[in-house]
Amino acid sequence: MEDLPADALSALFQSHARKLVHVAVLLVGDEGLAEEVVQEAYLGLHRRWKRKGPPENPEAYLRTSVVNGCRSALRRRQTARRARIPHPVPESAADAATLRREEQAEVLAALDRLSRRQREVLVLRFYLGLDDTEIGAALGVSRGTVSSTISRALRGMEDLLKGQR
Amino acid sequence: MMTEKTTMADMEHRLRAAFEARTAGVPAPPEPDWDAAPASRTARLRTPRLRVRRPRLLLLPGLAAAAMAVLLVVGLGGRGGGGRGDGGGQADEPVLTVGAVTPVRPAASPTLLFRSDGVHPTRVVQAATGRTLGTVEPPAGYVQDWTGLTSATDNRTLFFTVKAKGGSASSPQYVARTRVDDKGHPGKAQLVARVPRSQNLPTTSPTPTTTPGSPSPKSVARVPGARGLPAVSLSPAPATTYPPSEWPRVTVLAPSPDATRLALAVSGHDGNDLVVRDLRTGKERAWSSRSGLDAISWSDDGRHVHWSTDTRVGDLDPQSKEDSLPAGRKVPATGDGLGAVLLPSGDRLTTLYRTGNVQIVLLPSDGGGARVLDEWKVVPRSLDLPAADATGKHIFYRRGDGWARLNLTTGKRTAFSLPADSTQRGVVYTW
Repeated sequence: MEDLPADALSALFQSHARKLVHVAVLLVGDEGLAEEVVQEAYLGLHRRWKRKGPPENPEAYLRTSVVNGCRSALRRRQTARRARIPHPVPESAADAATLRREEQAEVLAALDRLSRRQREVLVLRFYLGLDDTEIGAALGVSRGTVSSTISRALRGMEDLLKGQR
Repeated sequence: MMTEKTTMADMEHRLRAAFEARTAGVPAPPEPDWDAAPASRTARLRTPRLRVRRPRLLLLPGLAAAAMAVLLVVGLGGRGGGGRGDGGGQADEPVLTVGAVTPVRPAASPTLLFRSDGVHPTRVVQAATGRTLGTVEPPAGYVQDWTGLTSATDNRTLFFTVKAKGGSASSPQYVARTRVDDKGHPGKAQLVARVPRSQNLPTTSPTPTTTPGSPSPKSVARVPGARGLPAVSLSPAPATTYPPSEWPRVTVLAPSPDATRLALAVSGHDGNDLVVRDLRTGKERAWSSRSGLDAISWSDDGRHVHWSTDTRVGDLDPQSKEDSLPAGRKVPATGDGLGAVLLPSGDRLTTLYRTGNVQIVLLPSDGGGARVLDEWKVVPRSLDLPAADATGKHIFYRRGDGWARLNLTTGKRTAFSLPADSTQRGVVYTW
């Protein structure tokens, strides 16, 4: 049996775990749950690594696991899901930032009203900065679908935010 | 064109700023103890196999002692076989109510709503007036956990998920049942089901999750062979990780039309399953699903359980052999992150956002064209899935600033007036 890839996993963890937790927070709206999803994704990678060796692209593997983990977590929280999950924007000390915080809260509220896939593509594109191919790999859809979903999601965001004003 | 591009760029900027603001204070998670975590998982798979090959005589003293303990507890009129050692939050195995189930009859029209906010006990609300008639109390020693709550076709028999008071996040869920009288007062709730252990559920095929360039479906799959093996603790579990629970989580509840059987969609670390429990006999049957089940419902005649995932729908005969769920048929995604409500007819209902308007849309089970049932101008924080009663004939939903009820048979819509706190974030009504 191959030695445990502790060093490699540790390096992956140090490099990506925080960003992945952020992605999960944006998708599930709960920091504890997000942390749990990411922990499980890493443990899943470790199990696979030990049994079969490393996947071709561990980072992509983790992204896919996190997105899938978020979907499962949301299913398990049916009631919360139906009622939408609030996305509080952390308080800033500066009073001048109040308007900006409100604007950001509105954006996140609008994000919550998009379809799950639209939300996922926006987070992967505009938070992680992935290209269409990488997003398609993470979500299991084609590049074309990613592209059209992003366009529709951005238009949807526009409409939603106009509707709030 | 230029304006549109500018608008999109502005939106991208706003999104990035909002994402950064939301996540700025979220720290990195604690790193798992890589040496301990996977080793424990592996031990879970291997140790039982080794033990099976040991001379069984070595186990006899232990088995005899366990049998004596069980007999002693039963002889004392105890409530089961002692501690489960599953982190269930209480030492005794609770007694599940089996039998004495009177079949219910569908209500002509639901008159009660059940209001949950995820914090306080569910309230029974008179639909016509919005008046609170009673409060649903879980069985003694248990608390509601909010993942499942639904009423039967009589609009009086309520099923809801609970957990042992003080139980950990990984403790098992139970389903409680209560009946509400004509005055809206709930009776004493009883435990009628417990989520089955993962190891007792059928083996699940790997979840298909990927496309080229990403991990293969098998690589993302749960560790094969984890089911069917005795539970082995994951010690030494590192303090910084969350060991997988032996218990799957309920995602959807659906009582049969006469409320004598209960269908549960469950999701765990080893996969997804559909479980049907006969409340008269306590017998359970289970089928594994390749994907997470978004919704389930019973056909009007109680002969089938409809199920849906993101992209597939299907019917299950609860008398069929326990195995994998039938493959079902592919359907277009609902287009809404909330998923869909599955009606007894097999049709799906969803809420869609369309350029400034909200629509309630019926997606027929025969694959026919979507039908818009209602449409109104979007109001902030008002987009939720409708609640369908168990007969599938009436839905209840937020409509703009108020509430509405729609008779799906006649198409008649009625406005509702509910208390001001009904539109608070997190408040959910079912009926």
